[in-house]
Amino acid sequence: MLLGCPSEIIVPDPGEYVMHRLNRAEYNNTVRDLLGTSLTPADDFPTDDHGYGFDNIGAALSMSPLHVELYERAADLLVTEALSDPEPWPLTITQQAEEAGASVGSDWGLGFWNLSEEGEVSAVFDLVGEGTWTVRTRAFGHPAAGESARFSLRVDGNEIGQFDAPDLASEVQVFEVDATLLAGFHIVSVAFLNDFWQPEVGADRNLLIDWIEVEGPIGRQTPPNAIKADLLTCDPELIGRSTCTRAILGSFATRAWRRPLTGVELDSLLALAEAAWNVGESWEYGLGLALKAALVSPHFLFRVELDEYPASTEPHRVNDYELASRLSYFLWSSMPDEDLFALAHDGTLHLPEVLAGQVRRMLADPQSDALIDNFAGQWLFIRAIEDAAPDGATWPDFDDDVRASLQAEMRLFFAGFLDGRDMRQLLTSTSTWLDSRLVGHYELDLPEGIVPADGTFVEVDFPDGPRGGLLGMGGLMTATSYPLRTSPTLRGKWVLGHLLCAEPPAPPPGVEGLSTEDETDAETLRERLEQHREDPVCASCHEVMDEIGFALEPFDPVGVHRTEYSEGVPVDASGTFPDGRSFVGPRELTAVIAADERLGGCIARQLYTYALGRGPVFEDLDPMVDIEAAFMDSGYSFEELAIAIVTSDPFLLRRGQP
Amino acid sequence: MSCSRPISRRLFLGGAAAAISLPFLDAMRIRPAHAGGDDIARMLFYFLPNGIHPPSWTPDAAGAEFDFKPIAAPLEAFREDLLFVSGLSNRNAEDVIAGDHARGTASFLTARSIVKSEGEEISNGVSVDQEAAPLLGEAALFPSLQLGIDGGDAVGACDSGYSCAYIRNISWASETTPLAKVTSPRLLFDRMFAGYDPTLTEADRERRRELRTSVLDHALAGAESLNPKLGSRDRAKLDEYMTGVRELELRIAATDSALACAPPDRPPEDLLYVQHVQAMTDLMVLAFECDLTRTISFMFGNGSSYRAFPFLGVSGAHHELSHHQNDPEKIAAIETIATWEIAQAADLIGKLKDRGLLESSMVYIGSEISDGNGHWHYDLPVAIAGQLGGRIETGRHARYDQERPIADLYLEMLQSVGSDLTEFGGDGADPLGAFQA
Repeated sequence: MLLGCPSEIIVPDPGEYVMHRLNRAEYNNTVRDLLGTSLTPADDFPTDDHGYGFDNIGAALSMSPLHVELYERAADLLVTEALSDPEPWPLTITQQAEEAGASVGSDWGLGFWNLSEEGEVSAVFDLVGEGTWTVRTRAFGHPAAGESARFSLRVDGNEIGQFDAPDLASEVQVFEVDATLLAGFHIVSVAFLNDFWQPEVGADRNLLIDWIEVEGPIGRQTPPNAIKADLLTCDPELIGRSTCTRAILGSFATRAWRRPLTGVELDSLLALAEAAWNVGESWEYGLGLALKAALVSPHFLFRVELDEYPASTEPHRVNDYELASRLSYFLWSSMPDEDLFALAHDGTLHLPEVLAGQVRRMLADPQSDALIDNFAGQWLFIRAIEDAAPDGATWPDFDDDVRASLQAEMRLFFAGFLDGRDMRQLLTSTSTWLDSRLVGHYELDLPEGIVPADGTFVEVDFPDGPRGGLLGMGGLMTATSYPLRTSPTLRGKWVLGHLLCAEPPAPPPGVEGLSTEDETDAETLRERLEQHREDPVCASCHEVMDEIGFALEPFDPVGVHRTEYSEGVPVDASGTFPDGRSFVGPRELTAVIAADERLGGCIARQLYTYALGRGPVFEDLDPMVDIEAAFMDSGYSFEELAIAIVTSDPFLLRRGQP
Repeated sequence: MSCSRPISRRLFLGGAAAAISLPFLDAMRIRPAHAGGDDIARMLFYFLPNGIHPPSWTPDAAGAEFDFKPIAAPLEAFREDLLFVSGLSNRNAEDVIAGDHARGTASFLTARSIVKSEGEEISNGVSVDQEAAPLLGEAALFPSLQLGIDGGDAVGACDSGYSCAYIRNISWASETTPLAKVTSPRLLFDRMFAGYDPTLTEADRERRRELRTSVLDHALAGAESLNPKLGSRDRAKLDEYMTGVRELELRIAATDSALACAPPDRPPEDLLYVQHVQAMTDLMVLAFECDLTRTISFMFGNGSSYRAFPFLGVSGAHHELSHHQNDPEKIAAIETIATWEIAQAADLIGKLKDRGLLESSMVYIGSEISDGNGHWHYDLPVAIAGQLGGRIETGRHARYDQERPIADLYLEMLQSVGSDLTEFGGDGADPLGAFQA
């Protein structure tokens, strides 16, 4: 606290929270943890608006009628899935031949496909379980030269049976073979083996196929719906409909609303089920209705925090259940787990040593991947790689697979910082993660033994560059480029804004048109940007932004290293700040940024904004000083930074809204 | 009032059929009497991002003998159904700081000056489509539909410190509530046609409707008991929620009587861009044809869209190209993009006309700015198709001086369908009078 503050201010103002609607990621994660579903209904919700660089800012998360409509729809989908009974095994899946894939032939009519020459009809089946599957097809043939049409029935290219087709359509026949198959995707095909064609004598042997079918797994018990088995913890026949329903609803809604229910609340949910039973609906239908009600309730959709005096700005501690939600949505983007609920129930969660222990536990849990998806995904622009649009004609190989690998590289790299590793190494690290696709994309010539096997990533060190470290990430370089060329300005603005929290203001209206789209001549680009700065209004920002960007010019618009532009002009990667600091290339730039005293404070501020879900306000200055100091004292440890944030007053306190 | 449903349930529920564009089945041509009634009027607000290059758009000649510039060429077939309006401005979107796209997009239908904010202080006005919606058809299943193609980028600033809400939404229910849009054809299809199970009897359906409503009543009761315990800002959030719940309850009550036709196949999940636009076009036509709504707003892209159009042989992103600096190649590129977009609008207009809906409709086409290079908020591109039930005399180009507020056009739209508003937006006080020659 600043010296000279009036002494009566004992508790610092924690700032104003706006009731936080679950965003899309939080909704999906919450229903996953609540029900065990793999449905992700929030994918259909409107894109969340973001503010201050993140999409979990309470004030920016608006609630439109469309949201409410889709919440009801999502609740319906989730409850229907939860209470459904699986289709009993064996299952039969039929693919009509005329709708399946065929290498040759034509639609014969009447639902048959005509293999008029040697080739095959094939269908892909996704088998739900391993075991014995009966594979069938229905076919007949047109014989010729005294020989019937012969065909092979194959699974994944391996023959499981060979047959002669009947010679008349009226004798069309079903052929079947049992095969032992693993669960998952399989290709079943029918291949015509003995084509014959002599038009001069009117001889034409063909195979006509009606459908391909699989049935199975044979002799295996239908597995129960695991979600239903977990949810229905009692039998209404044994302990009575109301008692059982009350027990199920109590436990479900307590977790869904992330706090214990009052008796009145539980009664009102039960009343919904009872009203349905009274008009003749089944037990499960009534229960489902009450479950839906829990999922469309504001107590589920919002993270509700209450004040005793809502209009008073007197700060007070949030209760331990509210704190458990603050913690779990910060570190996991999801609801609290059993441990957190237990600590909230005991009323000990807010104790500093308990909080610190929980942060360590939660960061070590796989659910902390949410920090990579949502915090790093936004702060470090990993998500922006999805929206980057390098020109397809210039970089035809830049496809969704490359995109995914570029994202994975950054994700794996950031994952290494969730424990105590010095976060300055985000910049100064000389290593990165590569798969074979990135080795190809980056045009790397790796020594034998280091090359990753297909589908796996390995950590590779580049002591002499050019890759490794944040400013060597191809994904980041792509996300900060235009479709046809790099933008030193965009890259410089990104480094200043995201790493040093010193983003220059937007240009005044009318000058935005100066950026050029298809200018690829390097000298001209640098000259144009330098000319641009002759205007003093532009110079004050661009003489920092552009110089940073110049040092990153060795990476082209898709993040591939280059020493010259396509015109044969060598890349000039030198940059100089107005204060005289100068650097050449990404590595020297990295050293300058890593040594910048604003870096630590900026990392702290980014995580603080994300943790609180609100933009920084004046009252945050004091707590930020303490948090920053703790972060730096710990050697820039992410874990210690997270602990400093969750034990700070703004995280532990709240106040009403005047 | 409902019409027969000669289509089987299997088709109704949709399958894996990969319908690329939606076929119009005969069943859908059966229209209930009220859908063609005299009193029906429909409005569709069609937004194109990044401006429309004025020299390639605005007709030279005013009056009935107007001409078609290259970007407008795809509309030429509908000459007698068109009203071009030129020389209107939206000064509310002007400011001395950056953010013209956010201001232009947010005020496209509100004609208001917005407050620069990342979230806490969002403030705009009620949009013209939302003023019109209750006048056009409260009885329709959806009071209005908000549709588009792009949800919005996953990350990054939207426009110079303005909240993304400003650049992604043109329909605003109140000063603080933007109406989010649906961008997935499949989701739109489900909203339009799901919820009706023909295997149930009318009594079953009535019972299920009541039970479904009881769940929402429960949610409302929960919100009401929460309300007094909240501070002012939280109450505002909760109010938005309660408004949504009440609207949904009204829809459930109207569900059965409003289903006026049977749907085509359910659109597939992932569509390529061009097919995505076509599917949305067909669903918009269907929404009018089945009388599911009478008011639609559609965003071809979000304000300042960076979309690339490689399939048109154009390199580069739309917004960057729109800052053409008088480079002929860039001007040609944005002309190509805009001409293709207008061709999609023409496709929509043609389908409405084929189904006899254009006469009762008004399709309003515009953008957040006029010239993308200079971010002009004057000389805005405006084309209107359809007669709005005899209210609009088409086949003309009405020209105004550059200072005439576009809010005056919106005021005329509203008054023409019976609104008693005498002012609209920041500067609309004098109905334009463009609808009649």
